[in-house]
Amino acid sequence: MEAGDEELMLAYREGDAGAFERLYRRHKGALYRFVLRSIRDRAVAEELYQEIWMRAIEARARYEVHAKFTTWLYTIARNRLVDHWRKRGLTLVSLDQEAAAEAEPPAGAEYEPQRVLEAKQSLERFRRALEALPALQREAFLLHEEAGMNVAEIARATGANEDAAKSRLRYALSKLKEAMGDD
Amino acid sequence: MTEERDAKVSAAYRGLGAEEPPRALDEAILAAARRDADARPALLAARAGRQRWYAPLATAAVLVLAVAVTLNMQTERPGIESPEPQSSAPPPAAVRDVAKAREKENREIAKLEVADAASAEKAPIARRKTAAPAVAADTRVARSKDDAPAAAPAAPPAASEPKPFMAERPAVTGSVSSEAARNVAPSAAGPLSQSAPAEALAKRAESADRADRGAASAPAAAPARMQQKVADTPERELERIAELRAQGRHEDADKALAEFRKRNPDYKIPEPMRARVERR
Repeated sequence: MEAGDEELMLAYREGDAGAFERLYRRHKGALYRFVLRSIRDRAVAEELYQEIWMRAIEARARYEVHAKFTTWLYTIARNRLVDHWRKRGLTLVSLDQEAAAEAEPPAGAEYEPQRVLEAKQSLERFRRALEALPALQREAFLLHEEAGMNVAEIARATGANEDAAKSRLRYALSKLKEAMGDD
Repeated sequence: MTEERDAKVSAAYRGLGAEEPPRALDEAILAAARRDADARPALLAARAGRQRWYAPLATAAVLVLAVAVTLNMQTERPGIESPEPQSSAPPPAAVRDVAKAREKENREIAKLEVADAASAEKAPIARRKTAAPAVAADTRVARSKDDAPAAAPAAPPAASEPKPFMAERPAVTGSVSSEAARNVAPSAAGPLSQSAPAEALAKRAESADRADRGAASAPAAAPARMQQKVADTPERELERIAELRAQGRHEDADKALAEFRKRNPDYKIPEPMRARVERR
């Protein structure tokens, strides 16, 4: 039976570098995509991605199993992203702003005049819709998709209450479905 | 329905691709993790080692300190916590000397008291000899109270020899106590005509004691009280009456004798003494 994330992290805390490697390989893709799709700029995303893992490495001595490893890891990631946005003068919009933003059409989500059923174009629309999501909604969606978190876990990782997390996720899904032409 | 739609969105999302971090980035992160794992266990082990040391070492240090303080307190001179003013306290060695001298004085006084009581049955000459040092001891006590803090080394010789009390008297000068001592000593050594009766002596000694009480300690006051007690003995009083009689002051002697009998109705005056105190 494969060791759980928490078990591997505890082993790494005790000095088992191999445990960390297994843990890294297990989560590297999802975390990378979470950062990349939150930031868009690949170079910056890679820099932030490395910093997130470095923070996890530095914090290993203090690691205690209070929650799932993914919650702990993505909390570090989110905090690093928030720092990044603050430095850039950007902030995560509040739930109220999200509601207001809901009424606005997502930027770059305009439909092409003729419906082309090519997959490439469809995906492009989806990508644009994802990029056009308010940050908190996108964050909730990415945590749901990449980290496999449910509403409660998203709420915990983002420091929000469950209702807010649920609302964000619902709005995100709704907009993406709309971009897919599903509604 | 919602689940299906979520699945559809998820599928669309998966269609965006599964980007992975560059290999170089992976290597950098894993190398950092290995470095940290190699370095930190050593730190943790060192910290654990220190922790193993710290608790017993701290406990041992506290115990040693506690034992040392306790031993020090036990070997401290008793009375260090007495309310004696510290500013006038002599050095410890001098204090010990004075304490020894006072102990010896107390012993001498006790001996004198016993001897005085016993000598009441013996010859009058012997009584005279004992009476003088007894009162002189009063002088000595007053002097030692006065001098002890400043000149403690002078005390041991005085204490070691019971007789030279009178010889030391001229050295006493200055304070209220020594003044009282000068007043008391001649009255005891000399005739009663120049001195007050026993009550007056006691009062003087007491006043000297009161005057000195501010600077004197309780142990120092005890010998003075004992001296006063010695001065009040019937034998002493009879001795003074006998001296009055010998000086031809018969009226004074009669009065004193009557007063004595009034105060001590049950006291049986020994025959030799009666011969001396009663008018022939």
